[in-house]
Amino acid sequence: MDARPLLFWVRWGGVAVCLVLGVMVQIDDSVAARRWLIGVSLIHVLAFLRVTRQFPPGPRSPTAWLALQLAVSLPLDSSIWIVNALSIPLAMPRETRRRWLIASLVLGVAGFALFLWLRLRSVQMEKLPLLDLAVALGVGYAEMVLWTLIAYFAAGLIVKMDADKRELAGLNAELMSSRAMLAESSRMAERLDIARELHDSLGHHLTTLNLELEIAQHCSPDDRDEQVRKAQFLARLLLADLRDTVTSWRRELNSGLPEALHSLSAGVSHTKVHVKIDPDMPALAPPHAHALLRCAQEAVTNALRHGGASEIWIEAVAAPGEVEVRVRDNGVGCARISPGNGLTGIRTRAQEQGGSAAFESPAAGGFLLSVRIPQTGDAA
Amino acid sequence: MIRLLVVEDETLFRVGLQKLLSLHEEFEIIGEAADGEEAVLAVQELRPDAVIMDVHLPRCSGIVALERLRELGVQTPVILLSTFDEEDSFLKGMRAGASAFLRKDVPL
Repeated sequence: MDARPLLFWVRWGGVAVCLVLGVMVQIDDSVAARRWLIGVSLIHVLAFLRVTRQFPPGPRSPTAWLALQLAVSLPLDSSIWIVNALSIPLAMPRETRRRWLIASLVLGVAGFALFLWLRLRSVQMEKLPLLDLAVALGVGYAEMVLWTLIAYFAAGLIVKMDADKRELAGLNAELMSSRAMLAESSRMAERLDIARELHDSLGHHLTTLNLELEIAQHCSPDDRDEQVRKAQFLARLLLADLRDTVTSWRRELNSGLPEALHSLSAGVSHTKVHVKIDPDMPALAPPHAHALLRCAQEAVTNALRHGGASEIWIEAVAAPGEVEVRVRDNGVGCARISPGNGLTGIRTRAQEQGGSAAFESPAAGGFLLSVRIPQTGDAA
Repeated sequence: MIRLLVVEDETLFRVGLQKLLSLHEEFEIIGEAADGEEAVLAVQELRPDAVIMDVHLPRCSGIVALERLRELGVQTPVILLSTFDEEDSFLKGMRAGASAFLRKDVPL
Protein backbone atom coordinates (compact mmCIF):
# COMPACT_ATOMS: atom_id res chain seq x y z
CA MET A 1 0.00 0.00 0.00
CA ASP A 2 1.20 3.49 -0.82
CA ALA A 3 2.20 5.54 2.25
CA ARG A 4 1.48 8.94 0.65
CA PRO A 5 -2.38 8.76 0.67
CA LEU A 6 -2.16 7.42 4.25
CA LEU A 7 -0.01 10.38 5.17
CA PHE A 8 -2.60 12.74 3.66
CA TRP A 9 -5.35 11.25 5.84
CA VAL A 10 -3.16 11.25 8.94
CA ARG A 11 -2.31 14.92 8.41
CA TRP A 12 -5.79 16.25 7.74
CA GLY A 13 -7.39 13.75 10.13
CA GLY A 14 -5.04 15.15 12.78
CA VAL A 15 -6.16 18.69 11.99
CA ALA A 16 -9.82 17.66 12.24
CA VAL A 17 -9.23 15.93 15.58
CA CYS A 18 -7.40 19.00 16.93
CA LEU A 19 -10.26 21.26 15.93
CA VAL A 20 -12.96 18.97 17.33
CA LEU A 21 -11.06 18.62 20.61
CA GLY A 22 -10.59 22.38 20.74
CA VAL A 23 -14.33 23.02 20.33
CA MET A 24 -15.46 20.17 22.60
CA VAL A 25 -13.48 21.19 25.66
CA GLN A 26 -14.37 24.79 25.35
CA ILE A 27 -18.14 24.39 25.47
CA ASP A 28 -18.34 24.69 29.27
CA ASP A 29 -15.76 27.46 29.62
CA SER A 30 -16.35 31.11 30.14
CA VAL A 31 -16.26 33.39 27.07
CA ALA A 32 -12.78 34.74 27.91
CA ALA A 33 -11.35 31.29 28.54
CA ARG A 34 -12.96 29.98 25.34
CA ARG A 35 -11.40 32.75 23.25
CA TRP A 36 -8.02 32.07 24.78
CA LEU A 37 -8.29 28.31 24.21
CA ILE A 38 -9.49 28.75 20.61
CA GLY A 39 -6.39 30.86 19.96
CA VAL A 40 -4.16 28.19 21.48
CA SER A 41 -5.94 25.46 19.44
CA LEU A 42 -5.40 27.39 16.23
CA ILE A 43 -1.70 27.84 17.04
CA HIS A 44 -1.50 24.09 17.69
CA VAL A 45 -3.15 23.27 14.34
CA LEU A 46 -0.80 25.68 12.56
CA ALA A 47 2.26 24.14 14.24
CA PHE A 48 1.01 20.61 13.45
CA LEU A 49 0.56 21.52 9.77
CA ARG A 50 3.99 23.14 9.65
CA VAL A 51 5.66 20.16 11.36
CA THR A 52 4.12 17.62 8.96
CA ARG A 53 4.56 19.81 5.87
CA GLN A 54 7.58 18.03 4.42
CA PHE A 55 7.54 14.29 3.91
CA PRO A 56 9.91 12.52 3.92
CA PRO A 57 11.68 14.83 6.41
CA GLY A 58 14.27 17.12 4.84
CA PRO A 59 17.76 17.84 6.17
CA ARG A 60 16.40 20.59 8.47
CA SER A 61 14.04 19.20 11.08
CA PRO A 62 11.17 21.46 12.19
CA THR A 63 12.42 21.35 15.80
CA ALA A 64 11.10 24.79 16.80
CA TRP A 65 7.65 24.13 15.35
CA LEU A 66 7.41 20.75 17.09
CA ALA A 67 8.47 22.36 20.39
CA LEU A 68 5.76 25.00 19.90
CA GLN A 69 3.20 22.30 19.07
CA LEU A 70 4.03 20.43 22.29
CA ALA A 71 4.11 23.61 24.39
CA VAL A 72 0.70 24.87 23.25
CA SER A 73 -0.78 21.42 23.89
CA LEU A 74 -0.40 21.89 27.66
CA PRO A 75 -3.72 23.64 28.34
CA LEU A 76 -5.62 21.62 25.69
CA ASP A 77 -7.48 18.31 26.02
CA SER A 78 -5.16 15.44 26.97
CA SER A 79 -6.18 13.58 23.79
CA ILE A 80 -4.20 16.17 21.81
CA TRP A 81 -1.03 14.28 22.86
CA ILE A 82 -2.08 11.42 20.60
CA VAL A 83 -2.02 13.81 17.63
CA ASN A 84 1.37 15.09 18.82
CA ALA A 85 2.69 11.51 18.87
CA LEU A 86 1.62 11.14 15.24
CA SER A 87 3.66 14.11 14.11
CA ILE A 88 6.98 12.99 15.68
CA PRO A 89 7.86 10.08 13.31
CA LEU A 90 6.49 12.01 10.32
CA ALA A 91 8.74 15.03 10.89
CA MET A 92 11.77 14.02 12.88
CA PRO A 93 14.83 11.95 11.96
CA ARG A 94 14.95 8.41 13.36
CA GLU A 95 17.68 9.12 15.92
CA THR A 96 15.81 11.95 17.69
CA ARG A 97 12.31 10.45 17.58
CA ARG A 98 12.57 8.61 20.91
CA ARG A 99 13.75 11.75 22.74
CA TRP A 100 10.78 13.67 21.37
CA LEU A 101 8.41 10.86 22.38
CA ILE A 102 9.75 10.89 25.95
CA ALA A 103 9.50 14.68 26.05
CA SER A 104 5.97 14.41 24.76
CA LEU A 105 4.99 11.85 27.43
CA VAL A 106 6.57 13.91 30.22
CA LEU A 107 4.88 17.10 29.02
CA GLY A 108 1.71 15.03 28.71
CA VAL A 109 1.75 14.47 32.48
CA ALA A 110 2.04 18.22 33.07
CA GLY A 111 -0.62 18.84 30.42
CA PHE A 112 -2.91 16.23 31.91
CA ALA A 113 -2.48 17.78 35.38
CA LEU A 114 -3.03 21.29 34.03
CA PHE A 115 -6.06 20.13 32.07
CA LEU A 116 -7.57 18.55 35.20
CA TRP A 117 -6.78 21.60 37.32
CA LEU A 118 -8.48 23.87 34.78
CA ARG A 119 -11.54 21.60 34.72
CA LEU A 120 -11.72 20.84 38.44
CA ARG A 121 -10.68 24.15 40.00
CA SER A 122 -14.35 25.09 40.52
CA VAL A 123 -15.05 21.79 42.23
CA GLN A 124 -14.53 21.67 45.97
CA MET A 125 -11.61 19.25 46.15
CA GLU A 126 -12.20 18.27 49.78
CA LYS A 127 -15.48 16.69 48.70
CA LEU A 128 -13.64 14.29 46.38
CA PRO A 129 -12.14 11.10 47.87
CA LEU A 130 -8.35 11.33 47.38
CA LEU A 131 -7.98 7.66 46.43
CA ASP A 132 -10.64 7.92 43.75
CA LEU A 133 -8.93 10.99 42.36
CA ALA A 134 -5.52 9.25 42.27
CA VAL A 135 -6.99 6.17 40.53
CA ALA A 136 -8.83 8.36 38.03
CA LEU A 137 -5.62 10.28 37.32
CA GLY A 138 -3.56 7.06 36.95
CA VAL A 139 -6.06 5.34 34.67
CA GLY A 140 -6.53 8.48 32.59
CA TYR A 141 -2.82 8.99 32.17
CA ALA A 142 -2.17 5.28 31.38
CA GLU A 143 -4.88 5.44 28.72
CA MET A 144 -3.30 8.54 27.24
CA VAL A 145 0.16 6.90 27.20
CA LEU A 146 -1.24 3.80 25.52
CA TRP A 147 -2.95 5.76 22.74
CA THR A 148 0.10 7.99 22.36
CA LEU A 149 2.31 4.93 21.84
CA ILE A 150 -0.16 3.40 19.36
CA ALA A 151 -0.23 6.65 17.39
CA TYR A 152 3.57 6.94 17.52
CA PHE A 153 4.15 3.39 16.23
CA ALA A 154 1.40 3.69 13.59
CA ALA A 155 3.04 6.85 12.22
CA GLY A 156 6.42 5.11 12.40
CA LEU A 157 4.95 2.29 10.32
CA ILE A 158 3.80 4.74 7.66
CA VAL A 159 7.28 6.27 7.55
CA LYS A 160 8.86 2.83 7.27
CA MET A 161 6.47 1.80 4.51
CA ASP A 162 7.39 4.88 2.53
CA ALA A 163 11.12 4.35 3.11
CA ASP A 164 10.79 0.68 2.08
CA LYS A 165 8.90 1.68 -1.03
CA ARG A 166 11.57 4.20 -1.98
CA GLU A 167 14.31 1.66 -1.33
CA LEU A 168 12.45 -0.93 -3.40
CA ALA A 169 12.08 1.56 -6.24
CA GLY A 170 15.81 2.22 -6.07
CA LEU A 171 16.63 -1.49 -6.08
CA ASN A 172 14.23 -2.04 -8.93
CA ALA A 173 15.88 0.72 -10.96
CA GLU A 174 19.26 -0.80 -10.17
CA LEU A 175 18.03 -4.21 -11.25
CA MET A 176 16.60 -2.84 -14.48
CA SER A 177 19.83 -1.05 -15.31
CA SER A 178 21.89 -4.14 -14.44
CA ARG A 179 19.65 -6.22 -16.68
CA ALA A 180 20.03 -3.75 -19.52
CA MET A 181 23.78 -3.69 -18.97
CA LEU A 182 23.93 -7.48 -18.94
CA ALA A 183 21.95 -7.65 -22.18
CA GLU A 184 24.24 -5.07 -23.74
CA SER A 185 27.37 -6.89 -22.59
CA SER A 186 25.95 -10.14 -23.96
CA ARG A 187 25.33 -8.43 -27.32
CA MET A 188 28.86 -7.04 -27.23
CA ALA A 189 30.27 -10.50 -26.49
CA GLU A 190 28.33 -11.91 -29.45
CA ARG A 191 29.68 -9.18 -31.74
CA LEU A 192 33.18 -9.81 -30.46
CA ASP A 193 32.80 -13.53 -31.20
CA ILE A 194 31.64 -12.75 -34.74
CA ALA A 195 34.54 -10.33 -35.25
CA ARG A 196 37.01 -12.92 -33.93
CA GLU A 197 35.53 -15.60 -36.17
CA LEU A 198 35.76 -13.31 -39.21
CA HIS A 199 39.30 -12.35 -38.30
CA ASP A 200 40.56 -15.85 -37.55
CA SER A 201 39.18 -17.83 -40.44
CA LEU A 202 37.74 -15.70 -43.22
CA GLY A 203 40.24 -12.84 -42.89
CA HIS A 204 43.29 -15.08 -43.23
CA HIS A 205 42.02 -17.02 -46.20
CA LEU A 206 40.82 -13.90 -48.00
CA THR A 207 44.24 -12.31 -47.50
CA THR A 208 45.94 -15.41 -48.86
CA LEU A 209 43.56 -15.50 -51.84
CA ASN A 210 44.41 -11.88 -52.56
CA LEU A 211 48.12 -12.76 -52.33
CA GLU A 212 47.79 -15.67 -54.78
CA LEU A 213 45.98 -13.42 -57.25
CA GLU A 214 48.74 -10.83 -56.84
CA ILE A 215 51.32 -13.54 -57.63
CA ALA A 216 49.27 -14.59 -60.68
CA GLN A 217 49.41 -10.99 -61.87
CA HIS A 218 53.20 -10.90 -61.68
CA CYS A 219 54.24 -14.43 -62.69
CA SER A 220 54.91 -15.81 -66.17
CA PRO A 221 51.99 -17.07 -68.33
CA ASP A 222 53.20 -20.65 -67.79
CA ASP A 223 52.88 -20.38 -64.02
CA ARG A 224 49.62 -18.47 -64.18
CA ASP A 225 47.39 -21.56 -64.52
CA GLU A 226 48.93 -23.03 -61.41
CA GLN A 227 48.29 -19.77 -59.52
CA VAL A 228 44.67 -19.64 -60.67
CA ARG A 229 44.18 -23.22 -59.45
CA LYS A 230 45.63 -22.22 -56.09
CA ALA A 231 43.34 -19.18 -55.94
CA GLN A 232 40.37 -21.41 -56.77
CA PHE A 233 41.37 -23.83 -54.01
CA LEU A 234 41.51 -20.91 -51.57
CA ALA A 235 38.12 -19.64 -52.72
CA ARG A 236 36.68 -23.09 -51.96
CA LEU A 237 38.40 -23.09 -48.59
CA LEU A 238 36.85 -19.71 -47.88
CA LEU A 239 33.41 -20.94 -48.79
CA ALA A 240 33.88 -23.93 -46.49
CA ASP A 241 34.99 -21.56 -43.71
CA LEU A 242 31.95 -19.40 -44.23
CA ARG A 243 29.68 -22.44 -44.22
CA ASP A 244 31.25 -23.75 -41.00
CA THR A 245 31.01 -20.38 -39.31
CA VAL A 246 27.34 -19.88 -40.25
CA THR A 247 26.47 -23.45 -39.21
CA SER A 248 28.19 -22.93 -35.89
CA TRP A 249 26.31 -19.64 -35.29
CA ARG A 250 23.02 -21.32 -36.18
CA ARG A 251 23.79 -24.12 -33.75
CA GLU A 252 24.69 -21.66 -31.01
CA LEU A 253 21.53 -19.61 -31.58
CA ASN A 254 19.46 -22.75 -31.60
CA SER A 255 20.98 -24.05 -28.39
CA GLY A 256 19.14 -21.40 -26.34
CA LEU A 257 15.65 -22.94 -26.13
CA PRO A 258 16.62 -26.62 -25.67
CA GLU A 259 19.10 -25.68 -22.96
CA ALA A 260 16.57 -23.48 -21.22
CA LEU A 261 13.94 -26.25 -21.34
CA HIS A 262 16.42 -28.72 -19.87
CA SER A 263 17.27 -26.18 -17.11
CA LEU A 264 13.55 -25.77 -16.45
CA SER A 265 13.17 -29.52 -15.94
CA ALA A 266 16.27 -29.67 -13.74
CA GLY A 267 14.84 -26.96 -11.50
CA VAL A 268 11.75 -29.02 -10.58
CA SER A 269 12.04 -31.32 -7.58
CA HIS A 270 9.69 -34.15 -6.50
CA THR A 271 8.13 -34.25 -9.98
CA LYS A 272 9.64 -36.04 -12.94
CA VAL A 273 9.95 -33.78 -15.96
CA HIS A 274 10.72 -35.41 -19.33
CA VAL A 275 12.15 -33.18 -22.05
CA LYS A 276 12.23 -34.19 -25.69
CA ILE A 277 13.72 -31.85 -28.29
CA ASP A 278 13.34 -32.41 -32.01
CA PRO A 279 16.87 -32.85 -33.42
CA ASP A 280 15.80 -30.84 -36.47
CA MET A 281 14.80 -27.88 -34.34
CA PRO A 282 15.54 -24.77 -36.46
CA ALA A 283 17.25 -21.63 -35.23
CA LEU A 284 14.73 -19.42 -33.47
CA ALA A 285 14.63 -15.66 -33.19
CA PRO A 286 15.32 -14.72 -29.54
CA PRO A 287 11.80 -13.27 -28.89
CA HIS A 288 10.24 -16.50 -30.21
CA ALA A 289 12.48 -18.71 -28.08
CA HIS A 290 11.77 -16.49 -25.07
CA ALA A 291 7.99 -16.65 -25.58
CA LEU A 292 8.04 -20.45 -25.93
CA LEU A 293 10.15 -20.80 -22.80
CA ARG A 294 7.85 -18.53 -20.75
CA CYS A 295 4.79 -20.52 -21.90
CA ALA A 296 6.47 -23.79 -20.92
CA GLN A 297 7.40 -22.30 -17.51
CA GLU A 298 3.81 -21.21 -16.91
CA ALA A 299 2.48 -24.64 -17.91
CA VAL A 300 4.92 -26.42 -15.58
CA THR A 301 3.96 -24.07 -12.72
CA ASN A 302 0.25 -24.76 -13.32
CA ALA A 303 0.86 -28.52 -13.45
CA LEU A 304 2.63 -28.39 -10.09
CA ARG A 305 0.46 -25.82 -8.35
CA HIS A 306 -3.03 -26.71 -9.56
CA GLY A 307 -2.72 -30.13 -11.16
CA GLY A 308 -0.65 -31.84 -8.47
CA ALA A 309 1.14 -33.70 -11.30
CA SER A 310 3.77 -36.34 -10.54
CA GLU A 311 5.06 -36.38 -14.14
CA ILE A 312 5.36 -33.69 -16.81
CA TRP A 313 6.34 -34.13 -20.45
CA ILE A 314 7.81 -31.19 -22.39
CA GLU A 315 8.25 -31.64 -26.11
CA ALA A 316 9.67 -29.19 -28.66
CA VAL A 317 8.72 -30.15 -32.20
CA ALA A 318 9.78 -28.60 -35.50
CA ALA A 319 6.96 -28.52 -38.06
CA PRO A 320 7.16 -26.97 -41.54
CA GLY A 321 7.27 -23.20 -41.02
CA GLU A 322 6.59 -23.33 -37.29
CA VAL A 323 7.80 -24.61 -33.96
CA GLU A 324 5.54 -26.21 -31.39
CA VAL A 325 6.14 -26.68 -27.68
CA ARG A 326 3.83 -29.15 -25.95
CA VAL A 327 3.58 -29.51 -22.18
CA ARG A 328 1.55 -32.45 -20.86
CA ASP A 329 1.03 -33.57 -17.26
CA ASN A 330 -0.68 -36.40 -15.37
CA GLY A 331 -2.30 -34.13 -12.80
CA VAL A 332 -5.97 -33.86 -11.91
CA GLY A 333 -6.75 -31.66 -14.93
CA CYS A 334 -9.99 -29.69 -14.86
CA ALA A 335 -13.55 -30.39 -15.93
CA ARG A 336 -13.94 -27.00 -17.61
CA ILE A 337 -11.05 -24.88 -18.85
CA SER A 338 -11.55 -21.25 -17.96
CA PRO A 339 -8.48 -19.22 -18.97
CA GLY A 340 -7.29 -17.43 -15.87
CA ASN A 341 -4.33 -15.10 -15.76
CA GLY A 342 -1.79 -17.85 -16.41
CA LEU A 343 -3.48 -19.32 -19.49
CA THR A 344 -4.45 -15.87 -20.77
CA GLY A 345 -0.80 -14.84 -20.40
CA ILE A 346 0.31 -17.89 -22.42
CA ARG A 347 -2.16 -17.10 -25.18
CA THR A 348 -1.12 -13.43 -25.24
CA ARG A 349 2.58 -14.33 -25.44
CA ALA A 350 1.97 -16.73 -28.33
CA GLN A 351 -0.21 -14.23 -30.18
CA GLU A 352 2.35 -11.44 -29.71
CA GLN A 353 4.78 -13.59 -31.72
CA GLY A 354 2.16 -14.35 -34.40
CA GLY A 355 1.43 -17.80 -32.98
CA SER A 356 -1.36 -19.54 -31.10
CA ALA A 357 -1.95 -21.53 -27.92
CA ALA A 358 -4.35 -24.43 -27.30
CA PHE A 359 -5.36 -26.09 -24.04
CA GLU A 360 -6.93 -29.47 -23.47
CA SER A 361 -7.91 -31.40 -20.37
CA PRO A 362 -8.76 -35.01 -21.30
CA ALA A 363 -11.52 -36.79 -19.38
CA ALA A 364 -8.97 -39.30 -18.09
CA GLY A 365 -7.13 -36.46 -16.32
CA GLY A 366 -4.04 -34.38 -16.95
CA PHE A 367 -3.63 -31.19 -18.90
CA LEU A 368 -2.13 -30.48 -22.30
CA LEU A 369 -0.80 -27.15 -23.53
CA SER A 370 0.32 -26.60 -27.09
CA VAL A 371 2.01 -23.38 -28.22
CA ARG A 372 2.80 -22.86 -31.90
CA ILE A 373 4.99 -20.02 -33.12
CA PRO A 374 5.86 -19.43 -36.77
CA GLN A 375 9.47 -19.67 -37.80
CA THR A 376 10.42 -16.39 -39.39
CA GLY A 377 14.07 -17.15 -39.90
CA ASP A 378 15.12 -13.94 -38.13
CA ALA A 379 17.72 -15.83 -36.18
CA ALA A 380 19.64 -17.18 -39.13
CA MET B 1 70.13 -8.21 -53.02
CA ILE B 2 68.05 -7.75 -49.87
CA ARG B 3 68.05 -10.82 -47.62
CA LEU B 4 64.61 -11.32 -46.04
CA LEU B 5 63.19 -13.38 -43.20
CA VAL B 6 59.41 -14.11 -43.41
CA VAL B 7 57.55 -14.68 -40.14
CA GLU B 8 53.95 -15.87 -40.50
CA ASP B 9 51.97 -18.63 -38.80
CA GLU B 10 49.50 -19.28 -41.64
CA THR B 11 51.35 -21.68 -43.92
CA LEU B 12 49.41 -20.80 -47.07
CA PHE B 13 50.09 -17.10 -46.67
CA ARG B 14 53.73 -17.64 -45.67
CA VAL B 15 54.41 -19.77 -48.77
CA GLY B 16 52.50 -17.35 -51.02
CA LEU B 17 54.36 -14.34 -49.62
CA GLN B 18 57.71 -16.02 -50.18
CA LYS B 19 56.72 -16.82 -53.76
CA LEU B 20 55.54 -13.26 -54.43
CA LEU B 21 58.74 -11.78 -53.02
CA SER B 22 60.87 -14.27 -54.97
CA LEU B 23 59.40 -12.90 -58.19
CA HIS B 24 61.41 -9.74 -57.54
CA GLU B 25 65.13 -10.21 -58.20
CA GLU B 26 66.19 -7.76 -55.51
CA PHE B 27 64.80 -9.98 -52.74
CA GLU B 28 66.24 -13.20 -51.40
CA ILE B 29 64.27 -15.22 -48.83
CA ILE B 30 66.86 -16.61 -46.46
CA GLY B 31 64.49 -18.13 -43.93
CA GLU B 32 61.03 -18.39 -42.41
CA ALA B 33 59.49 -18.67 -38.96
CA ALA B 34 55.99 -19.58 -37.78
CA ASP B 35 55.92 -17.89 -34.37
CA GLY B 36 57.47 -14.99 -32.44
CA GLU B 37 59.98 -16.99 -30.43
CA GLU B 38 61.18 -18.81 -33.52
CA ALA B 39 61.53 -15.43 -35.22
CA VAL B 40 63.81 -14.01 -32.49
CA LEU B 41 66.12 -17.04 -32.77
CA ALA B 42 66.08 -16.96 -36.61
CA VAL B 43 67.01 -13.24 -36.72
CA GLN B 44 69.93 -13.79 -34.36
CA GLU B 45 71.09 -16.80 -36.32
CA LEU B 46 70.53 -15.70 -39.93
CA ARG B 47 71.14 -11.93 -39.56
CA PRO B 48 68.71 -10.93 -42.36
CA ASP B 49 68.69 -7.41 -43.87
CA ALA B 50 64.98 -7.07 -43.07
CA VAL B 51 62.19 -9.01 -41.42
CA ILE B 52 58.60 -9.21 -42.63
CA MET B 53 56.54 -10.33 -39.64
CA ASP B 54 52.83 -10.85 -38.86
CA VAL B 55 51.54 -9.01 -35.80
CA HIS B 56 49.44 -11.93 -34.54
CA LEU B 57 51.64 -14.94 -33.95
CA PRO B 58 51.36 -17.91 -31.59
CA ARG B 59 53.57 -18.23 -28.46
CA CYS B 60 54.77 -14.64 -28.69
CA SER B 61 53.23 -11.89 -30.83
CA GLY B 62 55.09 -10.03 -33.58
CA ILE B 63 55.21 -6.89 -31.40
CA VAL B 64 56.68 -8.76 -28.41
CA ALA B 65 59.22 -10.47 -30.71
CA LEU B 66 60.21 -7.05 -32.07
CA GLU B 67 60.60 -5.68 -28.52
CA ARG B 68 62.85 -8.62 -27.61
CA LEU B 69 64.99 -8.05 -30.69
CA ARG B 70 65.46 -4.39 -29.75
CA GLU B 71 66.28 -5.38 -26.16
CA LEU B 72 68.93 -7.73 -27.54
CA GLY B 73 70.39 -4.81 -29.48
CA VAL B 74 69.32 -6.16 -32.89
CA GLN B 75 68.43 -3.17 -35.08
CA THR B 76 67.34 -5.12 -38.18
CA PRO B 77 64.46 -3.28 -39.91
CA VAL B 78 61.15 -5.03 -39.21
CA ILE B 79 57.99 -4.60 -41.31
CA LEU B 80 54.88 -5.63 -39.42
CA LEU B 81 51.88 -7.10 -41.29
CA SER B 82 48.28 -7.28 -40.22
CA THR B 83 45.05 -8.51 -41.83
CA PHE B 84 43.00 -5.60 -40.52
CA ASP B 85 43.54 -1.95 -39.67
CA GLU B 86 44.33 -2.21 -35.98
CA GLU B 87 45.17 1.16 -34.53
CA ASP B 88 46.28 -0.24 -31.20
CA SER B 89 48.68 -2.75 -32.80
CA PHE B 90 49.94 -0.08 -35.17
CA LEU B 91 50.82 2.28 -32.30
CA LYS B 92 52.41 -0.48 -30.21
CA GLY B 93 54.38 -1.76 -33.22
CA MET B 94 55.70 1.65 -34.20
CA ARG B 95 56.60 2.38 -30.58
CA ALA B 96 58.47 -0.94 -30.38
CA GLY B 97 60.59 0.16 -33.34
CA ALA B 98 58.91 -1.21 -36.49
CA SER B 99 60.04 0.36 -39.75
CA ALA B 100 56.60 0.05 -41.29
CA PHE B 101 53.15 -1.37 -40.53
CA LEU B 102 51.39 -2.74 -43.61
CA ARG B 103 48.10 -4.43 -44.29
CA LYS B 104 48.49 -7.89 -45.79
CA ASP B 105 46.49 -7.01 -48.91
CA VAL B 106 48.75 -4.11 -49.86
CA PRO B 107 49.87 -4.52 -53.53
CA LEU B 108 53.58 -5.12 -53.95
